[in-house]
Amino acid sequence: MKEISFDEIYEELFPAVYRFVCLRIPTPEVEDVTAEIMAKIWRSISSFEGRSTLKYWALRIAANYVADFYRSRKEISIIPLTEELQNAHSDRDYGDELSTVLSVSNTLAQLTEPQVAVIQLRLIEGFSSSETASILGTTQQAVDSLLYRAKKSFRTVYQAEMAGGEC
Amino acid sequence: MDKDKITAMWEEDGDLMRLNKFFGYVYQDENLKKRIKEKALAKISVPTSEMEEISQKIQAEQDTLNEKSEKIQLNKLKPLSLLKSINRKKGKSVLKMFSAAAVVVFAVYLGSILSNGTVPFTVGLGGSPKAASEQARNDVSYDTAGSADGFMSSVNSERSAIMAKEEFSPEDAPAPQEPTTFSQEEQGITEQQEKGSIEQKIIYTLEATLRVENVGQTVDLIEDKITSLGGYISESRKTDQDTEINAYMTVRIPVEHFENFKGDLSQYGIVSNQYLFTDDVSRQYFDVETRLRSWEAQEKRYLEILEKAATVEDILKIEDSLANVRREMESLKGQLKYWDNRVDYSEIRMNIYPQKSNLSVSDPWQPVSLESTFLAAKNAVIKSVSFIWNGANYIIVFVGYAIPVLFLLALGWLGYRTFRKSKSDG
Repeated sequence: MKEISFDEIYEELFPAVYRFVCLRIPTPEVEDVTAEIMAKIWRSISSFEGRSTLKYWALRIAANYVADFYRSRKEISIIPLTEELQNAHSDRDYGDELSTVLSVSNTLAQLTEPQVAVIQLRLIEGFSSSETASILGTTQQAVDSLLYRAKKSFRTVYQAEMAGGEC
Repeated sequence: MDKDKITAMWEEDGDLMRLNKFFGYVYQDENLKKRIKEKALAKISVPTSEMEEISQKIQAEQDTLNEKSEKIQLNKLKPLSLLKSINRKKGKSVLKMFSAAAVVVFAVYLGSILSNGTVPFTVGLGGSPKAASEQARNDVSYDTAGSADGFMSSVNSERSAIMAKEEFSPEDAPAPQEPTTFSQEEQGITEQQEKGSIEQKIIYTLEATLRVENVGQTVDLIEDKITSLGGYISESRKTDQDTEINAYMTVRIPVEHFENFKGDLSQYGIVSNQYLFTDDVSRQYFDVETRLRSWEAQEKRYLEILEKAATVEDILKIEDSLANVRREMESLKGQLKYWDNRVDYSEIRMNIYPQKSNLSVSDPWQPVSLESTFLAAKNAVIKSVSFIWNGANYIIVFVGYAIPVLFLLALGWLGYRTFRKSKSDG
């Protein structure tokens, strides 16, 4: 096993972890939670046996932490996904892709949370069905059917968004 | 393969590209990344709980300030005007970032002087995130010539250095692979608690993927084993489709049996993946306990005051405060209970899959072991029998549909014939 420094771990894993966290944790706490997860990852690095990708292992930790985060909170404040996505976007430079980004944002906000999670993990982070299933704590079949249903819903909602859209 | 089919679906009408665009924008801010990195480093080097509170408070205030100033209601604005306002804010946010950082540094400096009265401490603290990363860099050389052992020992030494800062007693040497020794240590430690060392509270979680011959049987075996060890099944899911059976189980067992069970997993089949997570909540647990104690003391004092209270107004005020104190205590106790449960019962999550050599009829014929051949033959027989049986059922049902119609037709034809006959007769 080659040596890794905290910097390297951070560089490699930060994007995926942050993407995962910022869609699931209320905005004021995203930073702390991400930092906490990165710290946790570093602290547990010695128990990583290299039998999977680092990214998968790290997201496992992130998913655990997020699940705990909500479990140990008495008030389960369900933050609507739209608000999260919009807050994450408030000061970005979009160029001319704004309409796409907004449409996707609004579309995702109308899908269920498991569907969004599967979309994110399978398509964006590139995990396999079984890895995604492990991360989310479900079965491979469930992941596949979720992705399929998500595709259908995404199409329908997105077309509605474009039709209703910004004119 | 299903994976490619489904992904291809997403690519077809450009949705995948759109998703990638969206997620590309989810994080773009370098400053944010650096901020979080610093926070993470700070957490790793474990500042005293006082400094933690202060820096947390500062961050909370920072965040609410930032949120208020930078929130834009995307729903209400049209895209064009949104772009305009975004461009305007860009310059301002950079300034804000700087001033925020300056405020944080100043506050930390002030706070440390107030609480400790010594300058060297501030220097140490201000440098500590950097110092930690420096140390990490020193301990783990970039030189690839270093051995894996070197890495492990340097990480462990960093760990034990951190442990030393927290005044752990010597017996608590970090060894996440041996919970059995810990439970004995824990009892010894409770007595030591008075002396100021922190009790160990570690949550163990294991995740494993098993490839077994018989999924159903393995699930039952594991269930029995768990129950016999005094644990319980937290979640158990089995999917049984024609060609695929898998199971997913989450179990909780007493922490003292965790290590053994983990070692025994290979008796059920091939352990193809295994992840061990340890979560050390000792500090948080200790903090919450301390807070609980101070609330308890507060409660006592209120009760004493209540004794001496004269007017009804006073009594009501005190009872109000008491209720508040008790609410806090309940919440903290709940937190401790939650942690106790997770520490006392380790969690093991298992994905159980059949071994790939299970032949089904749809697979091409390959030279395999006799057992699999027999299984496949059995499956084939069952399949054709069920097919024939289904076919027979369908025929019967069809006949059932047809009979009334045929009957009517027959009647009609007979009637027609007799009608014809009577015509030709008459």
